[in-house]
Amino acid sequence: MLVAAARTAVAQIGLIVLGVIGFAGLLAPWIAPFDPAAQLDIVALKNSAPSMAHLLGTDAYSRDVLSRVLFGARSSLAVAATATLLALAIGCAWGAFAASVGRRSGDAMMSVVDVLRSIPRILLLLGAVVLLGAMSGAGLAVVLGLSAWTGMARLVYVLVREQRARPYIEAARSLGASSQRVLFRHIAPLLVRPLAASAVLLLADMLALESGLSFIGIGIRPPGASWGNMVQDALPYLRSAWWLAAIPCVLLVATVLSAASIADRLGGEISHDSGRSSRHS
Amino acid sequence: MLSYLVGRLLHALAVVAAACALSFALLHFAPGDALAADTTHAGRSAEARAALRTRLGLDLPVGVQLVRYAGQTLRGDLGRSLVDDRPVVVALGAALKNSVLLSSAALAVAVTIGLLVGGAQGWRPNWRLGRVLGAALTAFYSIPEFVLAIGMIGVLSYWIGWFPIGGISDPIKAITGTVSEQLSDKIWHLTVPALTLALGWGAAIARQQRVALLETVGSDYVRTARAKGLAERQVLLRHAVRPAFPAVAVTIGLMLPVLVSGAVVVEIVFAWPGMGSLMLRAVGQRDVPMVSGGIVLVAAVVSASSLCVDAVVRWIDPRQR
Repeated sequence: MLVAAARTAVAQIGLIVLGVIGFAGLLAPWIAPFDPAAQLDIVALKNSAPSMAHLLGTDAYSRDVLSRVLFGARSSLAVAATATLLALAIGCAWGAFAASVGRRSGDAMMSVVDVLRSIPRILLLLGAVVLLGAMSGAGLAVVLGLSAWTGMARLVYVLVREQRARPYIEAARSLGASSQRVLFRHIAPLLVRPLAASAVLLLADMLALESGLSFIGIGIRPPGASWGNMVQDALPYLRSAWWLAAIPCVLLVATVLSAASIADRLGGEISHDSGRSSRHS
Repeated sequence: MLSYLVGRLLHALAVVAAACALSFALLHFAPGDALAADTTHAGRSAEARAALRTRLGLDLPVGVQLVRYAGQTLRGDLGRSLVDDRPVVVALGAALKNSVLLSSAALAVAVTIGLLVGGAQGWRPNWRLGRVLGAALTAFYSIPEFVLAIGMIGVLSYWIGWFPIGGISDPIKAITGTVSEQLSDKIWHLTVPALTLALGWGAAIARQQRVALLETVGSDYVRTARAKGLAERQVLLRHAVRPAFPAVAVTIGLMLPVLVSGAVVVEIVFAWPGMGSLMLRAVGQRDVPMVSGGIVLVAAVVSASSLCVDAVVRWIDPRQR
């Protein structure tokens, strides 16, 4: 009882944190005090500590860190949300279809998923970078989404198969409900909650992956701001201006943990296959 | 057993085949082709480019290229680097050795942490310390690898200053040091990156161990074992942990592709000269044969290892024979 209440409270805090970051990113162009790419004064404002004029200080190129954080939230969340929706759409369609067709073709469809899941995702992403060259935010979102749908497909497949074996489906069937009706009217409503939980986790996952790619220099490229490439920019100054790396890192951790707490509350203990296992692969 | 192994083998082959298809696509369908994307040869004369094109076989029809590619790959020839003309297999082999060192060290630590913490959580769900450790591990599990890596560098290398900030060995000691000096130097360099990986991986293993153990602890045979008066130790090790182990091992096998991806990022942060650093550099240099060779090699190593894990699990678990 107490544990459940604590989990709810943590999830509520997570929801607030995620909401604030999301809104801040959404409103970035209006609330950011400076242009995130403007090099304000490369001599006087290099790596300056937080002050009243620059609440989070300035980076090595004298750009305002607060503005970059806000715009970074905007681009990172936009990429992560698009990728999540894409993965959700493809994964649901593939998984539900595979669970609805006959056993044989369903197995065949799922073995395609299993093979794709067995290839480390970073390889697919590096390959995509070589094939496509420098990617825009939209391109990055599509590539991330295409690399992540398999976990969702597996989850949907398992959930739908599980429900189809239940007596109430047999009852609906014998009353003459069509296959589509069974899927959309009887099964789909039950999947909303577990799918919402894993979509939230996937969002955190995509955010982590996007910032990881931006960090190693193949995601969102400078001068575009992303929490990942901000950390990359700050790395040479870890000793002299540690807060430059710490600020985006703390924000990333806060976002990811918030999402995890929300997913935990939403899904309870459902065993989901997507989560981290779809994360960096 | 046999049909299971054949099925698993087919799956592994399909994974490698898919990786090969991606790698072939990189070599031959990259916009323009491998050479157009290659910036390091921008200064080459038209003749030199044409000669290189002929050497890579890019002027042949796609079907012929595919057959050539398949033949070469099957013979273990992944071509030559566009940047320094080294055989790709040699460069990848050297990097793979370092990656395997890092990953196996990390996996050993992760399995230890995971089994202990997960075991404590599963065996005594109400034990405070176990729950705190479990929560801490879950947090490590959620944090992106590169953030964790930077946190570790920041604290252990910069702030406390106990460990180097990266690399695989001290360049001076690597030449002049004695064998034991070189060994301890290597372990010193290995500690932080391996620990970084192990914290995240350990969480995944702990979770599995906890779930598997909760299942066995609640089972009738554990109650019987207690009822017949066995010592708690015996009950735990012989009747609860042992049957839970295969489920945990299977998870480790399933996780391998994920683990490899995490290792790539950690290698890059710690300047560890492994596959991750090599592949990233090759991507930056548009060294297409190196990237596509790396994809094939990593996919092959990963699927071979998970095949081995699955086979061993099958073999040690009498329930599955």
